[in-house]
Amino acid sequence: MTEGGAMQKGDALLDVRGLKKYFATPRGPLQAVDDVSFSILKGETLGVVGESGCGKSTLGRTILRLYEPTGGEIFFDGQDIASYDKKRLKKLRTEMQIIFQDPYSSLNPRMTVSQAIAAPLVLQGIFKKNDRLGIDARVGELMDLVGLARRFVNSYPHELDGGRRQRIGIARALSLKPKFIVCDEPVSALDVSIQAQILNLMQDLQGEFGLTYMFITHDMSVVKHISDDIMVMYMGRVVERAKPGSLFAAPLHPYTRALLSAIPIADPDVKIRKEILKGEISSPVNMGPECRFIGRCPDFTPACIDKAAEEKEVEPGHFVSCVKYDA
Amino acid sequence: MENILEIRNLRVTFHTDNGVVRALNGVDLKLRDGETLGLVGETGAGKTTLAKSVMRLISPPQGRIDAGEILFGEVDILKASQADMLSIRGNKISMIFQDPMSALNPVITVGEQIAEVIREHESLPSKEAWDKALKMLSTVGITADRAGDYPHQFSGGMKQRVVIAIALACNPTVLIADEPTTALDVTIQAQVLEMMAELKKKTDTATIIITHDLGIVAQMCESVVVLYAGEVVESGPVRDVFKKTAHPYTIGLLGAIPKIHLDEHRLHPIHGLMPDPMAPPEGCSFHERCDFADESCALNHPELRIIGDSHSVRCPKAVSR
Repeated sequence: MTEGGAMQKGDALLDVRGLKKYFATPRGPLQAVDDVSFSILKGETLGVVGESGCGKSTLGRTILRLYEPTGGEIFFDGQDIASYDKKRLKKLRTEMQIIFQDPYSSLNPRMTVSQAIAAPLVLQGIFKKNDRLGIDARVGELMDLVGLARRFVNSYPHELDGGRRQRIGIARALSLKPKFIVCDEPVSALDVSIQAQILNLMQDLQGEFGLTYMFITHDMSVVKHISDDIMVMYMGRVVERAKPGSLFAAPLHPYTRALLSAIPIADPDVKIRKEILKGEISSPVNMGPECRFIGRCPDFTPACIDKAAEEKEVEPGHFVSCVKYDA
Repeated sequence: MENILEIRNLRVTFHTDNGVVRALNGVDLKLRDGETLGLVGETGAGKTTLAKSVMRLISPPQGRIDAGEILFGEVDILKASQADMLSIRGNKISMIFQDPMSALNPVITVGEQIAEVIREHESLPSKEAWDKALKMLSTVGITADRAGDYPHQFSGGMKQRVVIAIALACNPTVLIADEPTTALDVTIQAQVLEMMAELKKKTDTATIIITHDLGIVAQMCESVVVLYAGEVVESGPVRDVFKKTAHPYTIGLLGAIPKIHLDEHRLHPIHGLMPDPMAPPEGCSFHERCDFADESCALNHPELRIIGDSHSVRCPKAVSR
C-alpha cells in the first residue's frame, strides 16, 4: 500500500489507508469506495474530482463516519477513528465538519438563521440552551465571519438566495471551531459571480483558522483554483493524484486527460483537441481486479484486464494508477 | 445573412401575490439564418422566460407579455393564432429543455415519443413516422433496437440525446436549447456538444443555446447576447464580446470564473446580488454592483448602443477597444 505521497506522516492531519465502502445490492456489492489511500497535510486542501457516481461524496462521508467503512483505516490527528464508538464520535464531530452541496435542502426550512447556526453549539453543550446572550453573541460573531449581514438573523432559509444560504452552511460548519471540513460541492449550486465570493471566503477562512479542507467537486476549474493536491476518482478508485500544476500541465491517466480536454474554455481563441470518451460511467458492482476504465479507455490493452494497476509515483508527488506506467 | 428570428422590445411580467416580477424589460435579439447564438446570464436574468416567450409558453394569468414583437419570418409569434402556433411550435421552432429526466414521458417508449412528434406535424402514416423516428435515434447516436425502451432505461446523456432527437425530428428552422448539458457530467457534456455541433454542420439549423457556461459559448457559438436583470447588456460576435469585452457585468462574469488555462491566486467576484426583479433600481440595473459607476448611472437608464461591428453595449462608459 502506498503512503500518502512524499508527505511527512507527522504533518498529515488526515491519513487514509486502504479505505473501502461497499453497499449491498441485489447484484452484489457496490464498491463505491475501493481501496483508497491518501493523506492531507494540516492547513492544506485536497481537491477530489470525478463525475457522478465516482464515489467522491461517499468517500467524504465515510471519512466523517457518516457511513460505516467496510474496511481500511482513517487516521485523524494520529488516531484511528475508523473504530471510534458513538460517544467518541460525537466528540470528534467538533473537529470534523461538512458543508453540503445544496444550500436549499441542507437547511431546515423551519429554522431561522440564528437557530440553524446555534444548533451545533447547543448540541455539543458549548452553550446551555437557555444561554440566549452567549448564543446570540457567538451567532453574531459567526455571521460576521462569513459575511452574512446581521439583519438576516431571524430570516428563514427561503427568504435568502443561494449564496447567503451557503454562508449559513459555512457558519454552521465553523461554529465548533473544527480542524477539518469536508466541502461537498459547496459552490456547484451557485451562479459564477456568487461562486467566486464563496470560494474567496473559504480561502480566507482557511488562512485565518488554519483549516484543512477536503474539497469535493466535479468542476475542474474550481478544483484547480482551490487545491494544494488533487485526487481524480473513477468508479470508486483513485486514478491519479498530483499537484494542480503538474496534473493540468501533464495529466498521465487516460481518464484525467479526457476529463481535462472535455472542459469548454471561456476563450474563443483557445481550442483544445478534445479526446471524446465513448460510453458512460457505470456502477462498480461486483468488480474484479481489472482497471475500471477499460470500457472507455482509448489506450486499452489486454494487460488492463489481468491485474489491478498499482499506484506509482511517476514524478515526485505525481501518482498514477495505470498499467501503461508499470515499469 | 437574413434574420430568421427577430425579437423587438419584448417585455414580460409575472403577476404574483407579492408583486409584479419584471422578467424581461425590452429585449431585442436577432438570430440570423444558420447562426448559433449563445444567450448567457445568471439565474433570474430572464433567459428561460425569453425562450418560453418565443415558444409562446408564457402562461396567463400570472405571465403576461406586455409589449414587443417576435418576428419569425412574416409571422409575429405574439399575434399568431392558436392554430398557427401549433404548426410552429415543435415543428418550425423547437426546444430542448434543460432536464432530460423530466422532459420525457416516463410511460411511453422513446421511439414512440419521437414518432408522435413526427405524426403530429408531418401527417405521415404511422409506419413511416416510426421509421423516421428510428432514423432520428441513430442520428443522435442511439441504436434503433433501443426504440422500444422507456426513458428510465437510459442514462442522463442518452436521455438528452432522445430529447434532441425529438426536437430535431421535424427539421426545425430554429432550435432553442435551454441549458442542454447542464445536468450532464463533463465527459458526457463533451459527447453531446460534439454531436450537436456535427448535427449543426449537417442541418444548418439556426440555434439559440441558453447557458450560464461561458466556456460553451466560446466554443460553440458565433454570437452572444448577455442578459442581466431582464435586459440585454451586451451583444455581438463571440470574439468581440470575449476579447473586447465592454460591459462591466460581462467583464465581471469573465473575471469571476476560475481559469483552467491560467494561474491566478484570487478570484474576482462581482460584489452584491442581482437586483430584486420586483423593485429594479433606478438608472442602470447594474450600477449598484458596478466598479465604474458614478452618480449619473444611478439616475439615467442607459440605452443599448453600437460600439463596433454589430457589437452593442448598454453602458455609456464603455468604449470600443
